[in-house]
Amino acid sequence: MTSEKQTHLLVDLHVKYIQSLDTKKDDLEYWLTEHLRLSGVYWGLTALDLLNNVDTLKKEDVVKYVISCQHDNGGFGGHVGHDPHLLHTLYAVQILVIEDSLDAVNVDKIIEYVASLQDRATGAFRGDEWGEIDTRFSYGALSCLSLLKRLDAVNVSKAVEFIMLCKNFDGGFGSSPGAESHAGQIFCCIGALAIVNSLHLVDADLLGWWLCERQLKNGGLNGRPEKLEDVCYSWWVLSALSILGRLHWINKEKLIEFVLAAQDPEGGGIADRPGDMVDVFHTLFGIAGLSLLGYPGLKLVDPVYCLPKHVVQRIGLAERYHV
Amino acid sequence: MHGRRRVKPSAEVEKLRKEKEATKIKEYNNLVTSCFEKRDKNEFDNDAFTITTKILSQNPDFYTIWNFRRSVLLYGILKECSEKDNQQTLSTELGFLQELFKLNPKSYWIFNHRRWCLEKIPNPDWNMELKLVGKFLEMDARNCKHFRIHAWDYRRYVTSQLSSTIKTSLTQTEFDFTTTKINQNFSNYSAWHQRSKLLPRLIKEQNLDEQDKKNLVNKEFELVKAAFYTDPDDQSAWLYHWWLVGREIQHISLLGAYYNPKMRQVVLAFDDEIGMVIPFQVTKKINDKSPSSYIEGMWRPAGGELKHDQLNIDRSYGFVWIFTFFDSVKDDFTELIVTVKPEFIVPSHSEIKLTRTIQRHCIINDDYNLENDFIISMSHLSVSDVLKESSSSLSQNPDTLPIDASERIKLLQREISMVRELLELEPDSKWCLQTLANLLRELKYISGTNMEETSKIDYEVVTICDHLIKIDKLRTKRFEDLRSKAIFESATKSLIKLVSKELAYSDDIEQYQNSTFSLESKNLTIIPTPSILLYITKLNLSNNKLTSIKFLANLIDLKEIDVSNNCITDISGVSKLRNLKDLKIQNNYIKNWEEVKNGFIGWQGVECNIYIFGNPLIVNNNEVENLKIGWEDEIKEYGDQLKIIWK
Repeated sequence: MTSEKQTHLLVDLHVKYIQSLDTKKDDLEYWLTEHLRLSGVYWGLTALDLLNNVDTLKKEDVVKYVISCQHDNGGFGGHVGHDPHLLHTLYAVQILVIEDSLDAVNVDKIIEYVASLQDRATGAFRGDEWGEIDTRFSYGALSCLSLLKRLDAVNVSKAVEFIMLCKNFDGGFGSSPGAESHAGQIFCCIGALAIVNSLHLVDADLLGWWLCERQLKNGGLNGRPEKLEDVCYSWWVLSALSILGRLHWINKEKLIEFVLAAQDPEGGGIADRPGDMVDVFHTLFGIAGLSLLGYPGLKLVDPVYCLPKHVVQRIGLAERYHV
Repeated sequence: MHGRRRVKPSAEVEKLRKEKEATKIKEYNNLVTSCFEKRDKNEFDNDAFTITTKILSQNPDFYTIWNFRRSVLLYGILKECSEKDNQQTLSTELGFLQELFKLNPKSYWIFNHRRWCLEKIPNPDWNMELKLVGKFLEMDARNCKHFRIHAWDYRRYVTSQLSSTIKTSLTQTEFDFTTTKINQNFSNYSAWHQRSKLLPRLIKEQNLDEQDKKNLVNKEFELVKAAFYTDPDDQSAWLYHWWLVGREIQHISLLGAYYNPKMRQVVLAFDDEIGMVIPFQVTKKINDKSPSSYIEGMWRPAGGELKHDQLNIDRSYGFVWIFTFFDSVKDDFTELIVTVKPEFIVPSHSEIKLTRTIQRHCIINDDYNLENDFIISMSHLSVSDVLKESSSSLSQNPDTLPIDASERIKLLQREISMVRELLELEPDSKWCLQTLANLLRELKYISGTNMEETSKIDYEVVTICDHLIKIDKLRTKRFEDLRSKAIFESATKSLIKLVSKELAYSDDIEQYQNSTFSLESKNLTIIPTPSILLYITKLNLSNNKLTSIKFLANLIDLKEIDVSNNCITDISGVSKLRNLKDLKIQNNYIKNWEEVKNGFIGWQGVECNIYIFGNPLIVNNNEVENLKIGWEDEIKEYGDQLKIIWK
C-alpha cells in the first residue's frame, strides 16, 4: 500500500492487470471464484474496450469460451458446466455484442430462455428455474432482449408494473416490493424503465436528490444512507443520475479523485476503496464511472446498457431512450 | 473484494502460501469434479449431499452447488420419506445454514436456500425464524451493517409467512418494532423505510376515523421532530418527513394553442416536456352544421422528429408540439378543433399529470392574407368544452399519505414554522434548509394565486439556495438548478396567468413580442420551462451559467438570441428556428468545430449571424482563417446564409 496520491488513470497497469487474471491458477481464490468467470470476462472486456484496448483479449478465445457456457435450454452458466442463470445470460449477450459475434450462438434459444423466466401474472422475472425474484432480473431480461431486439417476446407493460411496485418513499427502488432502496437496484430499475421508454413513471427530482446525497466528504459514493463509500457506486449511482439527466448534481472532481485513489499503483486494478485489494468488478465500475464523468482518454460508456457507447450505437440502440 | 485491505506480502511468504494452497486447490477441485460427475449422472444420494456440504462450507457463493443440493434433497433424500423424517432432515439443514451464516454473513445464497427449506419443511417454525432475524438485527446494532438489508428483507418475508399462517395481521407489532428500533437509534434508515410501508397499511387495516388518523399522523410528526432535535443532520428522518408531508400532483397546463394558416400548422405549447403516446386529434368542420372530420397530418416536437422505440412506441418529447397538415388537406374548413386526452401523453416525470381532456378551437375566415406569417389563437370551446374536473383522488400523490387537501396548507404552514424554529438553533443545517425550501415551494404551488406571497416565497427560496451553495460544496449544482427554477418563475411571472391551478399565457402577452425580453445575469443554470418564452422573439440570456441551449428548439419564433458569457459546450436546438437572425454565443466553452457544424445540420432558416468569438475554438488568427474556410465549405449544402462573426 502506498500513501502517494494518484493523480491520473494508470491505463497500462490496468490493462496488464486484466490480462493477468487468467494466470492465477495457483491461487485458491481463482478456483473459489469460478462461478464469476463469465461475468469476469464481461467486466474485463468492457473495461479494456473503454481503455482503448479491447484486442488485449483474443476475440476467438472469448467467443469460444462464451459458447461453451451455453446450455441446451438457451441460458448461460457462470462458467463451463455451471447452471444457467439469467444474469450470466445477460453477461454472455453483452460480451457477444461487444465482439459483434451474436451469430456464433443460438439467439432464438436465448430469447426463449429469458421469456420463460417471466412470471406472467406479476410481470416479475425469476433468476433461474429455482424461482428467486429480484428487480435485477427485470433489468437483466429487458436489457438482454433489447440487445437482441426482441422485447416483444415478453409482456413489457407487466414487467414495468412489477418494477413500479418496488418504488419507495424516497423515490428509489428495492429488490422486491417492500424492500429498501439500494443504488444497485435503482440502476437496474431506472435502466430497465429507460429501455422500455417508461422514465415518466420516475419521480426524477426526488430520486436525483437521494442519489446525489450518496456522495460523502471524501468524494466517494455510498449505496444507501449510513453506509461506507465504494467505487462500484461510481457506476450504480452515477449511471442512474446520468439517465435522469442529473449527473452534474454530484461533485465530479472529488469523485474522480476518490476513484483514482482506489487504484493499485503497483499491480494495477481498482479496489472498492483506497488501500483495499483490487478486483476486476471494481476495476470496470471505476473506469466506467470515470468515463461517465468525462475523464480524458476513455471511450464513452452507455449509462443504460453498461457497454461502450460505440457498441450500443453500432447496433442502433443509442439515443433510443429519452434522457 | 469488498473491504479487504491490500497487503503486499514478501516473495517468501507468497511462496509458502502457494505451497500450502496447492494441496487445498487439489482437494477442492477434486470435490467439484466428483460433484459434477454425480450431478451429470443424476445421482441424488447421501454421498452427493455430503460433497455439497463440503464445497458450500468453503464456498457458499457457488450457486450451482446449492442448486444440486436442492435436487439431491428433492429427488433423493426427501423423496418417499415420512413427514417426520423430512421435518428432521430439513431442521438439520436449517441448522447447517445458521452455522454457515455466522461465517459468511454477506452471502445471500444462504438466505435464498433458507427460504427454500422453509417452503419445503412440513411444519415451519416461523416464530423461531422471527427470533433469529431479531438476533441478526441486534448484530446490526453492533456495526454489522453489511447484511442489514438482507436481514430486513428476511424479516418482511418471515412476518408475511407468519401472518398468513396464524391468519392475523402483524402490521401493528411490526410498526411497534420499527418504533423500538428508531428509539434505539434515530439513524436507522431501514427502520424508517419499513415505517413508510407500514403506516399506510396500518391506517387502512385499522379503519381509523378522521380524528384517529390525524392523531396517528401527528404522532409521526412528533417522532421525526424528536429525531431532528437529536441530530439535525441525519438524513433518514428528513427524507421520511418529506414523504410524510407529501406532495400534490401538479397539473400539466396547455399554455396556448395556435393555428398558422400560411404554414398550415397547429402549434401547442405545454408547461411540461411531454411525450406523445397517441397522436392528438385535429378535426375540421366545413360549415356550422357539418360533422367534424379528421385532418391528416404529422405531429412532431418543435426542433425534433418523430421517433419510435423498439416496441414501435413514439418516444419524442417536447414542450412545444407542431402539427403540419398533409398537402392533400383542402383549405375548405370553417372551424378547427384540437383535442388532447390524458391517455395521449406521458409527462416528463411522475409528479405531474394531465388530469383532464383539453380542447381548443378556432373559427376560420376566408379573408386572411396569406402573404404574411400570422397565427390565430385557438380558444376554449365555448359550449362543449370537455372540462371534466378531475376527481380529488387524482390530485393526491398515490405514494403518499391521504391528507385532506384543505388541511394541507395548514400542515405546510405548521411544518414551516417548526423548521424555522430549528433553524434558529442550527442555522447551517443543510437538511433543515433543504426541507424549508421544499416546503415553501410546495406551499407556493398549492396556495399560489397571491402574487405578492409567491414573490416572497421565490425570494426566500433563492436566499436558501445561496446559503446551501456555500455550505454543501458537493451538491452546489443541484442547488443552482433549484435556484434557477425560483428565479425563472419569478422573472417570467408577467408572461403567464394562473387560472384554477393551471397556467396560460397572460392576456397581454403580445406586447412582449417585439421588444427584447431580458433574463440577463440571473445565475441561471437551466431554463426549467422554455415554452413560457414562446412569444418572445428577442431574448437575452447572457451572463448566466447555462451549459446547453437545446431548449431553444421550443422557441419557434425566435429572431435574436443572446446567450453570450455562459458555459455552453455545443450548439443545439437552433437548426429549425427559421426566423433566427442573430445567435450571440460568444464567450462560451465550445471547444471544437464539429459541435458548431452539427448544430446547423438541417438548417431551415434564412440568414443568420453567428457571433462565436471568445470560445476556446479560436486559438490564433491564422488558424481562424483556415478553420473558417474549411467550415464554410462544409456547410455549403445549407446555403450561404450562415455568417460567422469573429470579432
